[in-house]
Amino acid sequence: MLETHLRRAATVLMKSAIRIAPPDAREWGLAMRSELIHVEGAWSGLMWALGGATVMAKHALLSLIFPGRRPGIAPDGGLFAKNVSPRTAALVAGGGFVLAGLLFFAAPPFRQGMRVSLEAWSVVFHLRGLNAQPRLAALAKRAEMQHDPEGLVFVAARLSPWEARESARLAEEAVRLDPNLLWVHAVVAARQPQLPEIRQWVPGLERWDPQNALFPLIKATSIEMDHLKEASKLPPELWRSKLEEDRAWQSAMAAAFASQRFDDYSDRLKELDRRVVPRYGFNDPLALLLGGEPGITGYAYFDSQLYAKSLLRSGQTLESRGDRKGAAEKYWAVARFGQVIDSHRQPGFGLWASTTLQAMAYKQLQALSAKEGNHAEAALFSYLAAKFDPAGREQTSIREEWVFGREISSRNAAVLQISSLSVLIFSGFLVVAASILIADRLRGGQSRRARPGVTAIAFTSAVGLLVSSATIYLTYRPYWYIFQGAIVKGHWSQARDLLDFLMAIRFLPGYDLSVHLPVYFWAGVTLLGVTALLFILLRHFPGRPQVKKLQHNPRMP
Amino acid sequence: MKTLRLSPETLAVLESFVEHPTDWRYGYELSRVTGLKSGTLYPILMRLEMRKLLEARWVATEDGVPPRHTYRLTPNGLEFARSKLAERHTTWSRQPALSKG
Repeated sequence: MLETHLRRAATVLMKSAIRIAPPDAREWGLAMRSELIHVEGAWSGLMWALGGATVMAKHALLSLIFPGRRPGIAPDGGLFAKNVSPRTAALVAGGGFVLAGLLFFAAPPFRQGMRVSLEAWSVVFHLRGLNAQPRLAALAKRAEMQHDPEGLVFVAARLSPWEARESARLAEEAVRLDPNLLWVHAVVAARQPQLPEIRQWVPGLERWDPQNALFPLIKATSIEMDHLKEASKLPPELWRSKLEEDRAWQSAMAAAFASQRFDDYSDRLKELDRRVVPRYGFNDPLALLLGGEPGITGYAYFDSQLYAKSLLRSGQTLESRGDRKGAAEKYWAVARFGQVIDSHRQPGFGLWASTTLQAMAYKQLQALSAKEGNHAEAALFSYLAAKFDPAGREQTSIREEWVFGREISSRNAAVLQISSLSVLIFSGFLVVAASILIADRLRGGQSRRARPGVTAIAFTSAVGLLVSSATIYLTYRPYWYIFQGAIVKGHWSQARDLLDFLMAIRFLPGYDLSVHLPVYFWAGVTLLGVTALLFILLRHFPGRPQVKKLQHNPRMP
Repeated sequence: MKTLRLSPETLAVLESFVEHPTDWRYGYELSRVTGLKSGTLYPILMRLEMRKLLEARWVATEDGVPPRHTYRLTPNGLEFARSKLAERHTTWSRQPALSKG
């Protein structure tokens, strides 16, 4: 039984080897095959075939590298024979490259990388399908049908400001289905401060989670939004002073600065994401990480700074009147609020608010201590003021940890954008070239003159498609792992790199030459390589000797 | 023409042919006599044939069995083989003296 299989395997191996062999070596392949049945022992037969196949493969390879190295031998259309049909070889190899390129689509990192990298191009090419908002709306529909409150929270926290009302509706529906999800009101309110529902939501939230600085901040932001409606009619200074004089705003900010803690519920949202993302297969990093950042917004940051400045001013007034204790209390109120926000260790505006406010307060406390002659305390406050000074930006690198660094992420984003565009361009060329070749074939191959050029374009595009696909896969793979780690396992330690990468990929390369120069250099090198390959192929095809028909070798059996 | 690289394996093949200069020999038979595997033997045969030192032909054997490729040295090949084998013999006969010295 085994012997039969081995014999059969040996025969198949020899037959295959002969098929790929160049014409001048085929006779020898047949010679080895004819000896095969006389070889004693099945294993010896297989070894004989293996040796023969090696000889044939070597000749096939040599024929590919040094085409026509044995002139005068009758060609008959071998796969790797140069002077027989390089077009067939190019088409077969090109087909292999396309297949290999398409296989990348089976890999989740490639699919995600491709989708992410097309974000910037989607604006240029008006690809609406890449926008996350319609997919979020579809997810909301599914969640509503399944009465899934977590799915509704997931969408409500991420819909754009243009869909604020829908966001509020989904949040209310989610809380109706599961009252434990009340915190979604805070997440939505912080993102959409113009919502009228906020006035109803905030009292409930304050009862549910007292002493959280987020709710008075939301209230103050909402009041600021009302003022903003008149802002266009007033000069900025007047508008600002009108806001500062607003008692409701003052009261909200005072409550925020007196709060003992700050929680933007980002941890709860991340926990919810870990359950919802696999449930709905929503693997869009842009929508997940950039579309739904909870917490302190630019408005709240502005309000905090405005109120802190007014506190510091009143502290200075008290100081000038000789009330140093009262002044110190005002300064400490600002520093403490910065610490409260800082305790949550959130990035973005939260980080800016906490560090800026602390730096401002410590500067005042340093001056006050120096006036009191307490130099040791003054030195400490001086150190703290420098540490939190946003101008130094040192705290940013301490707080936000990178593995690759911002520049690498920016370059990787540019590489991915160029590669994804290359995939589109090469695919387009490939489709056109393949259509021409198929049409030509159906017509019986009448336009022979056009075929070498089209074949060369098809082959070059196949190479380009494979190289671009491999580049996308290899470049995006580390980010895919970071994304998986963050969303599935909750490991957010490396998310800074992914966030920087996603921020960079939303814009086309070119705005920063110092960062993107290497990208342009290698893109140029690749382009030159592809052009050279096309040039060689175009010269190669028309220059080959035309083989009219298969010639018979009388020596062969 | 480029001179043929005469490896010990090539010399073994030539020696095998010289022993029966008029006989047509099968590949498997040569493999058994010389102890060379197909992957070594056939490239040697191909090189010898390319340089017209070896002639090959297909011979029909019994019914139902594919024809076999057979080989023998051409007159030039025979002369070449004999001279090379003589050279080797001379070299080998000198080697012991050198090694002893």
